[in-house]
Parts: sequence; C-alpha cells; structure tokens
Amino acid sequence: MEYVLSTQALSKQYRDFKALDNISMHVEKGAIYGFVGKNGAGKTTLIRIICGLQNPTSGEYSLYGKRNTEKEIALSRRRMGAIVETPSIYLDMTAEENLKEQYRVLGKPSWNGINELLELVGLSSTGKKKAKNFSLGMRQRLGIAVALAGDPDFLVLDEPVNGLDPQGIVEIRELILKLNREHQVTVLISSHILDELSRLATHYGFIDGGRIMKEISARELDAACRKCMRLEVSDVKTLARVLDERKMEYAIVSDHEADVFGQWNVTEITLALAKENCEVRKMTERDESLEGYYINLIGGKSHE
Amino acid sequence: MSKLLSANFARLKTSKTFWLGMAVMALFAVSSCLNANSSRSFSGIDSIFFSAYIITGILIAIFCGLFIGTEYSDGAIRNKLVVGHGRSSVYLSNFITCAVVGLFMDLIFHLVILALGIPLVGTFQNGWLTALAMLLTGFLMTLSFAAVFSLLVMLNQNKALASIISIVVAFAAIFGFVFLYSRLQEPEFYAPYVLTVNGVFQQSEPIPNPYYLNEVQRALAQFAIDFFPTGQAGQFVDTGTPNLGLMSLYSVLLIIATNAAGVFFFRRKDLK
Repeated sequence: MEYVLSTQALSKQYRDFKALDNISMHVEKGAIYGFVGKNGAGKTTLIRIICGLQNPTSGEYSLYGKRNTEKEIALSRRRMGAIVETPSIYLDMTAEENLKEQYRVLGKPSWNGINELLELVGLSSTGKKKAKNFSLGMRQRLGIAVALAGDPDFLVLDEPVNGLDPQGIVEIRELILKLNREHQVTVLISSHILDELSRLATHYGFIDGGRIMKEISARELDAACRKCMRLEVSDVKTLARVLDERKMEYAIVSDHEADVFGQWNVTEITLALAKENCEVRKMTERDESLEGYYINLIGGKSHE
Repeated sequence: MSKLLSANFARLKTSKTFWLGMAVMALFAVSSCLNANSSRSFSGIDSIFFSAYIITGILIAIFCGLFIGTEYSDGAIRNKLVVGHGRSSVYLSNFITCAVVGLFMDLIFHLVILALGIPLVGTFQNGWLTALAMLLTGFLMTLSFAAVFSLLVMLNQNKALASIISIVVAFAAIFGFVFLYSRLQEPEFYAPYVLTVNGVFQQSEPIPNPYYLNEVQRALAQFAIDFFPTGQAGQFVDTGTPNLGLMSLYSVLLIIATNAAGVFFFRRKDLK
C-alpha cells in the first residue's frame, strides 16, 4: 500500500493541554480521506503539523515516504497544497495577482496555467476585483486555486465548506471530486459536516480527544452501516443454520444477536426458528448513517 | 530564498506603505533643503544630509508592521511554508525586504538632498570621504533598524499588535536617546553665583549638579546611544562626526544578533 501521508505516534502538547495523543493515521495515494471529529478534537492541530506550521512534541510523520526529521521533507512538501482554517490569500490583490504571487513563491518560470486554474475554480471573470470584495465562497475557491498553483499531488483542506451557502458547498464538492477523479489528486479533508463528507470520502479517520478512534474505508463503513434487521434470539447457532440453509447474508454480533441483510420474509424465518425451538426475542431495523457510526464510535458524547 | 525575495519585491511594487514612505522621505529632504536655504545659517549640506535617519527608523517600524503583519493576517505566510520553504529562508527574506526598503528610503532622501541641497547651501564641508564614511555607517544603522523591527514583527502573529509594538518601541527609543543624551550634556557643576554687595564682588563655591552622571553611568549611557540605531541616528543629527568605526561595529553585531535570535525563535514558533 502506497501512503501519501502516514503518522506514527504523533503527539502535540500545549502547556497543560494534550491536543494530539499518539496519533497514527494513513492516507492512501488516490484517496479522499475524510478526517472527522468535533471542534477541538485535534483535526486542525494535526493539519498544521503536517503542513509544517507547527512541530510535533513527539512522534513523527512521513510525506511521500520522507520523514519530518529529514531535510528531504521539503521536496515532499512541494507536492502539497493546503488550506488551513481560512484561505491564505492577499486580500488587497485580485485573484490573478494572488496566483502570480504564489507562482513566484514556487519559482515558476511563466504564468502558464493561471487562466486554467481560475477557470477550474470558477473565478475567471473576477477581473480587477480585489479578494477583499469576494464572497466567502469565492475566497475559499481562490484559496484552493492558490493551493493548486504548484500542481500538487496531495491537497489538504481544513473545513473547506465552513460558512458556505448550499450552492458554494456543492461547487467545492464538485471541484474536489473533479481534482481527485480527473487529476488523481489525493485529498485530506477535515470536516464535522458528516453528511457532506459522506458524499466525497473514500476513507475516513475518526478523531476524538486527540486520539484516532478508527480508520476505515468508505466500503467498510458502508458495510458497517448497511440497512439490516438485528435479531435477538435464544440460540444464535440455530439462527445461523436457518439463514445458511436459505443462503442469506448475515453477521453474528454476539451470542444472542445477529444482523441479517437483504430482503427476506419475516414470517418464514420466524416459523423456521420456532420449529427449531429457537425463540425470537427482539427484532429491530437498523439503518446507521455516518453520523450514527461516528456517535457510536465516540460513545455518544455531546458535541461542543 | 531567491523565490521568496522575488515574491516579496513583487508585492513591494504595489505596497502603498512603501511608496508613502518614499514620498515622506522625499518631502522631508525638500523641506530640509528649503529650511537650510531660508535660515542662511548653513554652510554646507553636512548636517542636513544625515538628518533623516530617525525618520527612517520610524518608517521602517511602520513598514515592517504592515508588510510582514499582512503575511500573518492574510495567512499568506502559510503558503510559503506549506510548499517547502524553510523557516530560516522565510525569516531572512522578510528581513532583507525590510532592509532594502530602509535603504531605498535613505537613498531617496540623500538623492533629493544632493540634487536640491548642493545648489542651495553648498557641498560637504567635512569632505566627501568623511561623508562617504558616514553614509556607509548610516546604511548599516538602517539595516540594524530593519533587523530589530523584523524580529519584533516576525515573532508576533497579530498584525495590529505587532505594528503598535514596533511604533511604540521606535518612539520609546527616541525618547530614551533624548533623555540619555541630555543627561550626558549636563555640566558637573553649576556656575558659581556672583554677587555684588556695596561694590564688592562675592563668588559662591561651584554647586555640584545632582543630574551629572558618574563615570560608570556615563560609560553605560554612551554605550547605549552608540549601540542602538536610534542613538546612532540622534548622534548624526546632533554631534556631526560621531565615532563611525564603533557605531558600524555595533550595527553589525546588532544585525547578526537579532537575526540569529529571530531565526532561532521563528523556527520553534507554532504558527496558526
């Protein structure tokens, strides 16, 4: 497995507060990695560290195989673009001037690609309008354009849809999907808007209290969140035999519980279990969303 | 670092603060020449040629606060670090930009004085070589101003606070210089009283001046005004021919020390 980013036991301490506690996470090449956690969970701290804005207290991370303690990490960073919290743009410059400034920072020899970038983020018609007169969505898109100026293979977006109107959210989502699918850009996107994230992410990392609670692929999450009926029975082995006879898909949850997937006839199964002297005690429909999965994972603690 | 400098200088071209500073220096030069011409007490441009360094210091403080502060307030400093530029390069490129701005401000002032002052009040009375030595010392002083204010602003992420601190420090340094310099000028004794009583002159003993600094205090005060750029700038205006070699040495030491400290702390600084 090729990882763009991996962290090993990464910790960050601010005086008495431990913002990150032994974090180990892995972002696969080509993934859209949804970094999920409530406010103050440590998402932005981790992003600041991997962007080189802060130093870890202990532990390390690798970008494209180069550890943060190696000098060559600077070369890996050249393959990165990022928006941390707010878009990093000069407010007294136009969209084009901002991109030219970033081109100079990157040492690009010509302005080739600036028009295409402005086109890509939908800002080609802003002309001489200064960024300070842009809407929040336009600034966010300009921030993404600046982050893309170096043709990055890895894009880090910290809460990119915060404060955007519905139209702005859709535009950013489509842009991220386009970059990932058409330009093969790996994306790490942090958010606490789970519904939005579930439309994008191919992988998830759940963080709470500075700790990674779980890393899971979207496919695994879909399986975990599939619609099913949870049966509580007196003998789960009998239930398994009955379901096997009918070639039905199921997952044993405990000695008395199992999740049964797909469409099936409740009466038929109940009668078959009754014949085997297996009592059906409880039957509940389960349809877990990303939100439900997350709440279950962090133990249902209230949000800030 | 050349990429960062290229980006900074491109920003500089459109910086209102920079062009306003240049305009202030040019106007100050014109006003100095006209004032010297009208008072007719000047026999050469020596004293007015080096009279602007305190103004340069204040303008550098304002420029550093706004130019570097904008990088923090707009978040653009992150764009430099995220794409792999080292912290030392980011720090030093900002110092160099502020230093060049200071030198440009000096140059515009000197050029206007040369163009307007020589025809109006004459050339250098102390000779061109002395003027050249003072000019080089003045440039080093300007670099030390830039080093001090770059340090103050680069280590403070709040643009407004950094600007205020820089300006307050600039003015506090001026007041500090005026205070120390005036204390150094205090006489050791007040002149004795001379009384005439019935046609007979009577003279009192000289009265010791309580504000006169002792040897150690004098040495420390002299060191302070020689070492810090504001003190040096004040001496250029007031004394005409200060100790240029010592001042240059102090400026070089201050530039090295502040940049070393700045890079050291900036490398360890947590940025937002």
